Amino acid sequence: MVKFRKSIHSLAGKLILTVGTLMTIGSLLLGYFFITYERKVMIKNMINYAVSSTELIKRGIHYGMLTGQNEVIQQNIDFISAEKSINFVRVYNPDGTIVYASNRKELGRRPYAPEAFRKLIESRETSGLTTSGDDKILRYAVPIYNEPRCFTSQCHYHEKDKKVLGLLESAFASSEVDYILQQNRITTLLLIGLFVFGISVFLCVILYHFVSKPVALLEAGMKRIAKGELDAPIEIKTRDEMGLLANTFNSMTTDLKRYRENMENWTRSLEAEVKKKTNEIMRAQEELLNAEKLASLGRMAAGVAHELNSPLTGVVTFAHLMKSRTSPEDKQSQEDLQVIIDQANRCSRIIKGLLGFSRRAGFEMVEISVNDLLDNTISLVRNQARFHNIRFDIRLAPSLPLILADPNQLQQVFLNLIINAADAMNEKGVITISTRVLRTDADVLEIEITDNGPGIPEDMVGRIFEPFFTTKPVGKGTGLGLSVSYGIVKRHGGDIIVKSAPGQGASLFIRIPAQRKKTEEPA
Amino acid sequence: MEPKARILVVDDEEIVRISCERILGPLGYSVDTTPDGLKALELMGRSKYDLVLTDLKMPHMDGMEVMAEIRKREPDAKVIIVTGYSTIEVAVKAIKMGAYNYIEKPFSPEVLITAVREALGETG
Repeated sequence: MVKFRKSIHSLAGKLILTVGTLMTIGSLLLGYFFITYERKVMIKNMINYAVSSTELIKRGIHYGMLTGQNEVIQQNIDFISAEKSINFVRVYNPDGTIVYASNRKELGRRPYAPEAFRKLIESRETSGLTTSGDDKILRYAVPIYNEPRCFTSQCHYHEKDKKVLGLLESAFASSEVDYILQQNRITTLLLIGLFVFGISVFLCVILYHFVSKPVALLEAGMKRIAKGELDAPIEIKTRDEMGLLANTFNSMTTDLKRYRENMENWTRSLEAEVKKKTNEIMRAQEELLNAEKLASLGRMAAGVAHELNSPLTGVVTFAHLMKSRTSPEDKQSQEDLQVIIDQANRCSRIIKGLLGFSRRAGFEMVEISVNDLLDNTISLVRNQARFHNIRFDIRLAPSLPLILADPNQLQQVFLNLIINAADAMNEKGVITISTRVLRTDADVLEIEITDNGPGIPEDMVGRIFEPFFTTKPVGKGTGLGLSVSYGIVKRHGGDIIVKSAPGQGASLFIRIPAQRKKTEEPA
Repeated sequence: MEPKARILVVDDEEIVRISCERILGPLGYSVDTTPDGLKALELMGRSKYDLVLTDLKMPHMDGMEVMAEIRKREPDAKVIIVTGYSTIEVAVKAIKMGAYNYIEKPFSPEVLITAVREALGETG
């Protein structure tokens, strides 16, 4: 569920606050003008009412005055002033003394100073209206003029030239008006409050639906994106700016997802490529180390070989000389001397093996047929004593491409491997020799030499190309044959691979690049 | 029995020189030895030798140079290269330059005797 912002810092909060404030100020101003205007109207109405009422009172007492019936005048005044809105009614004689009054206690009093009273009479034409704000009373005074009927009536006498006969003053309570105005003020304020509240609630609802809710959805969506969840689009279906924003955002998410997938793919393929290259580099480094090891061993061996062969010549020669001097009957001495000769010759073989490493230069590369070279090699060994109990199973593929190689070196490799196979089988068994073309990037020739001997123990498979590593009994092998062979094949740009399982014999695969076209002569 | 041939052994290693003397001497050959190519040529200037056995790697003058000089001065004299630093390439080079044969150290008396007899045409 999305969480909404409720503080006034939110967009909706700010909008509601602003609109609310403006509406309140506006409504209050309007209300003020409305109340002021109403007050003016009401006061005007009241004045009209006072004027017409006073006029009516005047007419009401007119007959009494004409006939001079004082009691009737007083009764009329009593009667009229019983009206709730009429505060009092007074009739003054021209010198300002109250002669008739709704309140009889006021009779004979002179509430106005003579000057003020005169002004009151004279102001008839201008206003004749005095309002007292403090006691909420509206006073209206109207002079009673001398009319022809007055000085012609029989009841009493007024001089003809006397203009003003007296003053009628009436007062009206304005508390009613005030009450109504008060009520109107309260009603207006209430209406304003209701209006502002209603508009605010309406705004809240509108803003929630069109602003807060989409914003919260957008916010939640962005948080999901930040967490890496690119599969959940933002669900805003409106066609306004928010909907547009959500659509743009969703298409951005889709793009982002696509880029991320592309990047992940790139990373994966890059990792695979790096792994592959690392393996290649490690392999190359291993081979380089191996080659460097062999080369330095070869340099050392060549130096040592020359030094050792001369003393060995002495050993062999003098053992022979001594042997020839020893009586043939002295079998023990004959045998002992033969041991010396044999061991000296063994030393010599070891040295020859070491010399194999130093033969880097002087390669004579010619185009040769591997099958022919194998045939030659096999015919060389076939008649040797150690091969008398070994059967050769020859399976040479016809019409092989030629290879570029040093025949002497390669023959040494074949010899080494064949002799090794024979030794592994204790000179009894089958050696299978086969050739084939491997169709890879470049054509590669493969020569397989397999024996059916006991096989190579698993932990030794990785070591058989190390110099001086041998499984043969002491004195039988130098432990150099395979490493020399490995070096030679490497120098031909090839490789030797061993496959063996204990009890199932061993297979050595020599792989050498073939000449792709016979016309491609080496430089 | 006709007088046996004269043989000169050139090798910087005394044990090789002694070995040759001890193998060939008893067979009736007249064997002289020297450790140095220059001295060998000096000896050859003084007397005639039928066969020279020479090492390849020696101080002052190596076996190939000695052989070349001998081939120039005494075209009839045979040369056998005796070396402990053997490669097929060196052997082929030596034969091409006129050596009669090529023996690898260490050799057994039979090998030496056979090679010497072949060179002197005494086979059979």
